[in-house]
Amino acid sequence: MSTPGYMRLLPPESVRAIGRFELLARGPMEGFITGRHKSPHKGFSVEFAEHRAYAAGDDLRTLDWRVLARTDRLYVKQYIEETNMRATVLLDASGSMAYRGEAAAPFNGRPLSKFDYAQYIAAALTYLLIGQQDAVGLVTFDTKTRTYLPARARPSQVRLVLEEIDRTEPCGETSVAEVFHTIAERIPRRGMVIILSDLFDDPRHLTEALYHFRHRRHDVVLMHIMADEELTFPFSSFSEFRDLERPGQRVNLDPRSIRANYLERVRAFLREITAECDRLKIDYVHLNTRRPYDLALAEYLRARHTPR
Amino acid sequence: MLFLHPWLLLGLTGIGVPIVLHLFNRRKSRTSDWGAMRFLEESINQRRRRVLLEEILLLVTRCLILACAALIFARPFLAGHASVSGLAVLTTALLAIIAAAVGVAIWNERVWRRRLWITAACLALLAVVAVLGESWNGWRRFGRSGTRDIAIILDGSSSMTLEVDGLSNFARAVKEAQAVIESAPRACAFTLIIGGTVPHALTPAPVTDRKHLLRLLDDAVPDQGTFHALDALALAVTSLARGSHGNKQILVIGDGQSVGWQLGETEVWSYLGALLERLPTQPRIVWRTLEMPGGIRNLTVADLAFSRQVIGTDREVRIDVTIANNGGESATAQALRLTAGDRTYTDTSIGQLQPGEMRVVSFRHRFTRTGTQPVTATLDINDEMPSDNTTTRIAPVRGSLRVLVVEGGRAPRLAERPGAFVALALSPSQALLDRAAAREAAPKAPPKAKPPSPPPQGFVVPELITMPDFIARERLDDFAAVILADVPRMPSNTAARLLQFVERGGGLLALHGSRSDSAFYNGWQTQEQHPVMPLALDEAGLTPAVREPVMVDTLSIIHPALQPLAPDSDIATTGFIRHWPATAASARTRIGARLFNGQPLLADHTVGKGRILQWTAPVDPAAGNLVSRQSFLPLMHELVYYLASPVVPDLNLPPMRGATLSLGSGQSEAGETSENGLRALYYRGTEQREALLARTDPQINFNWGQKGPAPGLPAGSFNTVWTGSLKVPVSGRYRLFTRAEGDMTVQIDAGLDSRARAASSLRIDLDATRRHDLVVRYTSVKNRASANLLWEGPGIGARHVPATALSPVRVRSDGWSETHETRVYPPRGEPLEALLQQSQDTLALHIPHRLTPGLYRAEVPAVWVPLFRDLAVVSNGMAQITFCVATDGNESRLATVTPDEAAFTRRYADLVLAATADEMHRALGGGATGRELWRPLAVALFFLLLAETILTRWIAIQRKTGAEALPVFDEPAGPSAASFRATMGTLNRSQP
Repeated sequence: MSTPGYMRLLPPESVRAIGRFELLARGPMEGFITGRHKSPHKGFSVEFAEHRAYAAGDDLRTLDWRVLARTDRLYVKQYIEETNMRATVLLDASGSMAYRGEAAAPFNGRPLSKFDYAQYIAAALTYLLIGQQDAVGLVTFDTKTRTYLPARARPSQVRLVLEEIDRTEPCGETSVAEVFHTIAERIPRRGMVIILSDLFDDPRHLTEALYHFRHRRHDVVLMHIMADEELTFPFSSFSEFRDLERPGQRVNLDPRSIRANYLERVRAFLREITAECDRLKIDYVHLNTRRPYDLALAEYLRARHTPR
Repeated sequence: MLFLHPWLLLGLTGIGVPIVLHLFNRRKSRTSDWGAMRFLEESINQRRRRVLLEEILLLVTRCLILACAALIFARPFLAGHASVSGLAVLTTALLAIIAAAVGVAIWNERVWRRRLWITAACLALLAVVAVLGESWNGWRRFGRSGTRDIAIILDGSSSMTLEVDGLSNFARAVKEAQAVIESAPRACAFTLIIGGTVPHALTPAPVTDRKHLLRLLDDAVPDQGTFHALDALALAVTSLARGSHGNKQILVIGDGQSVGWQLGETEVWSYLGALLERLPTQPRIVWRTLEMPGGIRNLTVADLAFSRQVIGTDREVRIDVTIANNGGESATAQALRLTAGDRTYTDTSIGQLQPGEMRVVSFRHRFTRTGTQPVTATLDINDEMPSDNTTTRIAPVRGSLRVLVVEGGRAPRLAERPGAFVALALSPSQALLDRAAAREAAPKAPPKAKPPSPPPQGFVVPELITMPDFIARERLDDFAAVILADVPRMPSNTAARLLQFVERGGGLLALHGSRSDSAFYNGWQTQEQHPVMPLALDEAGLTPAVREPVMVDTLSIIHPALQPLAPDSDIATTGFIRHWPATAASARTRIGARLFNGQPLLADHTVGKGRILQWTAPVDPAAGNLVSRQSFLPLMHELVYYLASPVVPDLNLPPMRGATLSLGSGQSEAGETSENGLRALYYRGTEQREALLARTDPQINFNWGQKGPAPGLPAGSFNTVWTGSLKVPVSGRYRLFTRAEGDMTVQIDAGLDSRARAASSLRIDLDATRRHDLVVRYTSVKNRASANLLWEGPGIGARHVPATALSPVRVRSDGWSETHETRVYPPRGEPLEALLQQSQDTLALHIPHRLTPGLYRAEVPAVWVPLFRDLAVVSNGMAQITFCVATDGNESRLATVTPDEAAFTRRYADLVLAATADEMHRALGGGATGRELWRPLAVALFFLLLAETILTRWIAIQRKTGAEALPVFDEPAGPSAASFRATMGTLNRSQP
């Protein structure tokens, strides 16, 4: 029996590695830590949270009659809606994601491009989240949203998502900010937003977009994927660099002549994003394609479980 | 700007190397897709200018380095009179290179690239045009004046061998000459002359083959001696005249010594001027004067002179050696040694000589052997110029000097006649008088029983004869001088013969007494109607002194023959009661001594080659006290020596190109002889070069067979020349023929008749009234030798020519001359070919070779010895004559040319003094002079290399700065991939 093509995104060994972990949403806005939800139920359930003094206009159905009986006071029972998490994976399919560095961790004998890397991460996360009975949605984008799969918790969602990921080819420019604003509006309820991108956009726009997510109370996990070459710029001989996002655009130069400047720029860029993520309490994850994606993901998941 | 090695300018293509490398690096660039273009572009935008600047600087520096290197190899130089400044050309060229390099560096800026390249091309074109124009201009200047022939004269004098800073000036001159040849335009032709005592050309005509010229210069050696500049210049003119170019130049490289330039001698300089004008264009003479060493210590033997020209073995001769200090410091010689014959004299009394001081040291030496005797003076001193510490002269020592004294006196006693006085004074012996008396008595009485005493053995051998004997005597050539002792007059033919004798070099002394006929002496004239005698005698005859004897005025004695007589001798006390008043007969007359009354006592002049002396006071005890003075003997001797001087060959020659050594009159064979037969000379081989045997053969009737005529002359390897004359008994037609094994010819009247031919058989009309000249030649070519001369004629059958018909004396025309090849051994090197020429009145040795100072030995066959009158030294069949080529003592004076002297030369020639090599090049003109530029270029190259290194390092450092700090990404402390996988494995196993 032949395996469907998209199943290449879930190689057994990474499934084994990732399968032990779970990804739980954080509830930072409420001020307390959300317990891990191990609910066996299907659908959604309601959990008692606290009592509150009755105020006029409250639905009488919520009145706690038992308390009234015991203490003769009017209290209203308040319930926390315990939902299965709605996670949306934002997969950057812009041209720059197609960059395949020589230093990247090889997979199936060839180094992964940033997009490949993102694909595998996305697939693994999808698998993981569906496994937790969470709903998973997928957005692929470049300058604008390409596909949008609303979050579903159905097991068949895995197939849909994976098929979509598998089908996507990187091309076009990156304009993260605009797409993020759109998506932030489009995701109906707050949930987890996992961004897989190289974030090659103006950091200011990016920050605004991230702020938008936070504003919508989404739990944002920003997975920043970069190739090692992009970080170290190790080239020494005169090279021609072809732009992956704008075909035909090319630059001839002696890499050594601008390396210091380039690195300084990358450093500043990362510094800015890190600072913004800290401020916005966004989970900011560096993913260097040099490290095997399952290892990197496993590390991240483990670190996320460990309270800071 | 021009280039010495223009082909090496191809090295400029090396500039392409960094450019090509630059472009190749771009082409080779790897292409990669890139995502993080944002950062890249931002970086580029920020760094673009800087990177471009760096690239431009690097590329320009590298291009300039290679350009400089190429230019250095091409050896550019700034022409002295360039129309375009060489520096401007250089700057233009470098700017072109810079523009091209910048154009390449900004490859991507198409517009600017094109502009820069056009600029570079224009600048390069400009530079090339300037260089080509300059060189074309050089050629044109050259062409306008006609391409050039340059004669380079290297001063090869002794002073050029003096070392200045460890290198001799001659070596410097060679280097400079080579530099001139190397830097001259290609078409220039050079002729090389080494100037010494006798200049010689290394190239007969101007040549253009540089390699050959440079090699010749490498091998050149100085000649030593004095640099005879005018000879060298004349030689240069001769050589230049053979060159094909119209324009000529002469370059003299010397040390500026004025000796040898004959400065101030207008005649020779006008001659040179005339010579120079004969060339198509007046050549410029550039005299490069190298620096001469100053303040050296140098003593020199400036001169060596004999007190008399005629030197015999009879008495001592004074030898004066002049020592001079020609150096700049005082010097002391330990000793002066004089070597003459077997003896060496040493004088240690010289002491210290100040600069410029001269001292004469006299030696007295009596030669014991006749012949040419070298006399050498040597200074024992270790000075800077050792070559001039020795001087050699040749003393021709005569064995005897024959003097004919013609007695004109009529005194009853033989011993009281003037001729006898003179003869006795010359050779005091009774025998002389006896013989004279015997001769006087002979016509009247039969010979006395007393055997004639042997002829007097002295140096001066007088023969006293009477007037009739003198008239009868046909030949005078055996005598050095004739003394007419109060001879009244002579028959015209005798007088003519005597005149001829004088004209050939003989001496004549006329002593006037009471019997002298003034009419005859005053009227005696040469063929050119000049008076023969120097004085015109007063017709009044002998004048008696008024009251007391007229004394000799010693202060008036200027005659050289009287100089050796000491001034304090008794010549001052000599007085005369009577004397002939006289006046000078011509302007050429020299009054050598006067009496106190102003009348001439001794006068002389020269006629032809000979000298004539006239003495106006009677040699007579009755007329004065002269004969009783002690001075009388030396006076007579000195007068005879003086008269004999012309026949003494001067064997001390100045250095010259080819010399003719006059050895005598050529007449020594007896004019008339009763001897029969033919003179035979047997030579080795087939040439008349090496005479091994000389003899008189009575007739030619030989059958030598295999052995040949003598040991060393075997058949087949000798030739013979018989000379003489033939007298036939009856006039008529004769047949002369030869019979021989070999080649044999006979020739009649060869010297008289130009139609005479040599043949093995002659039919010819012969005259019985005269002798016919006869030459028979035989060459033995077979292994058997025989030679026979036969005749047949009127009444004579075919038979050998008898000895009675033959005489060894040739019959020759007036202008006859005969030559003989011989050899001269120079002081160094191979023997030189020389020609011995004998003619009616000369015997001369022609040496057509350059004679440098030193002793020479001429070798002649012994058969010629009689011609040389004691001069030759005979040893094993060959006679040797030694002669000397003397050096010029002034050479060591090291006097440099003065501005006045230089100005003098400019009157005759376009002469330019050049004190430095630059001046020399400038004076030579042409397109090939200027200043070489490689030094500043080398400095520039050094700094460019330095700049390139610094720039590269600086750029590398600049690029590294900030590049070490990598962006922080990744969690550094994670498990390695391997351990992660391992953990996964165990977990999975434990968690099924």
